[in-house]
Amino acid sequence: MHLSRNAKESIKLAAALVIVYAIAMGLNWEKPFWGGFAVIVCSQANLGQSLNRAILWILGTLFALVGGWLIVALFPQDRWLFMIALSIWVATCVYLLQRSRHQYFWVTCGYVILLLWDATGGDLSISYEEGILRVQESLLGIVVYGLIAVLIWPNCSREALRKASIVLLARQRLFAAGCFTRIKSQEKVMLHPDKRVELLKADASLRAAIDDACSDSYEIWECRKQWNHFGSRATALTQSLLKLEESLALSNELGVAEFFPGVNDYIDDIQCRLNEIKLTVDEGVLANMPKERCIQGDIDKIKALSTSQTAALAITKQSLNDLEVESRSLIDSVNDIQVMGDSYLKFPSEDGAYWLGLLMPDPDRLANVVRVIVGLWISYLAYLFVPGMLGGLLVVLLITVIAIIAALSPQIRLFETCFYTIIVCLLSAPMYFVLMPKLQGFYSLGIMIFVWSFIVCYLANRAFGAQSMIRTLVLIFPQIIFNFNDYQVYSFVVYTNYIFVLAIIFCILAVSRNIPFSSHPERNFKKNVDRFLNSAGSLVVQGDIPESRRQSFFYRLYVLYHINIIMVSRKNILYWMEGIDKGRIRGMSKDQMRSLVDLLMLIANQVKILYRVDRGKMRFVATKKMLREAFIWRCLAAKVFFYLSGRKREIHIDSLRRGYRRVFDRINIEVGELMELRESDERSKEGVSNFLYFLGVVHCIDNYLSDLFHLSELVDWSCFCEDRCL
Amino acid sequence: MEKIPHDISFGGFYLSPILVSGLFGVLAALLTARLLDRYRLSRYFANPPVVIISLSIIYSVFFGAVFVGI
Repeated sequence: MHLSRNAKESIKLAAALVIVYAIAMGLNWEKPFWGGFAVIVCSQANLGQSLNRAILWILGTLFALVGGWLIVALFPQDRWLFMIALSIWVATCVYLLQRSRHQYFWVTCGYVILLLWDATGGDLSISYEEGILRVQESLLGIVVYGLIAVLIWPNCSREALRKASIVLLARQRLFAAGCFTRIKSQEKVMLHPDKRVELLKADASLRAAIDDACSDSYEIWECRKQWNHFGSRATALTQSLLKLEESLALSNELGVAEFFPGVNDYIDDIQCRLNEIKLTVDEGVLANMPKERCIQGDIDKIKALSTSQTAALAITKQSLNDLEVESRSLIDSVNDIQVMGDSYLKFPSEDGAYWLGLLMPDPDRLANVVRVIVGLWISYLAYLFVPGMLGGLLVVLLITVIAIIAALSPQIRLFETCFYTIIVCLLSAPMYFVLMPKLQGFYSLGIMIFVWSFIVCYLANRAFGAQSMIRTLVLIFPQIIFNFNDYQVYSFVVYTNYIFVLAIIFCILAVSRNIPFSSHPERNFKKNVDRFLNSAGSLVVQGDIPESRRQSFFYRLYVLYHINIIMVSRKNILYWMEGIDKGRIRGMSKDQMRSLVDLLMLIANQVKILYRVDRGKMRFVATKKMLREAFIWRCLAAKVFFYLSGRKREIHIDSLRRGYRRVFDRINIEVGELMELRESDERSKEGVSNFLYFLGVVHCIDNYLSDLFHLSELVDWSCFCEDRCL
Repeated sequence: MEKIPHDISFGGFYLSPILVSGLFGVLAALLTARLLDRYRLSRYFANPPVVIISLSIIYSVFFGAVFVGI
């Protein structure tokens, strides 16, 4: 019988719950619910795939245990200092979990400390045994779920990684074949945004697949450095291909093959290399290390060309040579994966970028931290100052845990979540009042838990997705109501109280999630688009900052902040786009939204390239007049970016076009001088190549920006961002 | 006639009056919010997401006072 992945995951979760309750009740532990709670929270983080992940959960629990008792020991007599320390701990966990490679570690750290705190009674009448018991129960849930995830139908991302690699390599081969065909046929090359977006998407998917597989496959974890290196080399090859297409847009009409003898052999060689890489990834056959190859121009023929044509050919030559170098590095990296090689040591590590992303202030992540802390404090103050508050500390605990999970998917629709949770709680009433009192022992209770959990999990996964907040809540709340234990009591008052607790929790969350700003998906989508455009504008204009100012610490921090925004923008924008109800969207069509996201992705890529060019400004060589025109273009582009990001400035897109034409007109006039500079020494040669590369980027940004401008003018942003009650 | 607070029998189960009025209050608030969104009236509120909570409380108190007698 073939079972779907959803059915298998639901069976795993249901089996884990039954086993956890069986062990906890067998050992006569109080409140076995906490074991079930851990199972549900852990299975929410992902489809719970391996021992590696279970280890992260266990480490998180132990770390939170140590942290929790440390905070209790430091502030045993002061409620407010204790709460401040607890808030700082939770805030740190929430901030880090949103970008960390070890997300599950931080999720567990955040919620286990709350379990511990809740066990102390919240008023510091510390119950050591009860705290330990809760941690014990949580560990039981984590271990049981971890083992089940590993032993029964393990769902490893390794296959997904292999598929993502093959898809990217296939796209690269296709893209390269397109460029090479056009070189051979000498047709005019037009940039195709669709194909470029596809290539970039496949590239982004590979990086995500590597991260996933590293966290849940031991084999991938063991050679994670090699895989990460493969990812970065594949990205470099993607960038080289994009650059090649840009350069061909400037030079292909001239007939590149005519001026570069041996280009046909070069094309065959590169295609052969790409095929070999695919074979290595697909079948594990080691690829042959190719010989170094360098494209040289036919000087006699090139001399007959105009100066601007010479410049265009120079860019193409550079792009072809870059592609050759990158394809060799990629072969090196795929061979490394097979033999655990160490060619990654020759390249700078990407850890710097990871730590930059993790620690750099990110407005969205900070907003999520504020939401969690506001939820925690509102509920805590209500617990302290509202006499006999329903649920008491349970409300504080659940609000914080739900807010922590919501930090991973802040785009959830709260009222939809509330509605479905109440429906499931109401549906659980007949079981609680009619079925459970008639059960004879644990065997029949176990069957009931299994069937109930399986049905709820299966339907919730199917309707809302395996990682949705609704799935987690519809599984948690009936468990709270059932409260399985060895001395089961049935109370209608308790049942209705829990329904009210649910309502209180959602009311507090509805308030806290709109602090510091609205969590309305459309508004946040626009906010992220604006933030991205603002950062892109700031980075574009940074290229001409004097060297003395570049050394300043604050300037570096400023640039790093904007770089980080550009890096995370796509993910954030897609995140909020998911939350937008496509049936109720206003002011913009679905196609327009998709085109907008694609354009932003292309612009992000070009801005990153431009930043890399700017970083090599020490070696940026061109005549003064050319640099001045480039500076004017930068200012105009930045102005358009700022205008599109919502800053009120008078701007017309034609002025950018004029600036762009001026850059190229100036090159036509002074290209002879540029070529002379290129010939003078090795340093100038690199500097001129950098400048020519800059021109390719200018060409692309100009096209994309103009498309974005026209698209943005068609969208009614105020209508799109209009706030709604639901 | 003055209403006297009383439990409401539902299939033999006695539900507390505040539960019933709360349930109807939330349903009425959801309906109102949906209409406000449909006719683009939500934009006139300073914080529309909080409107639904306020409406739920107002409706619950209203239903409680008029029909259940809380």
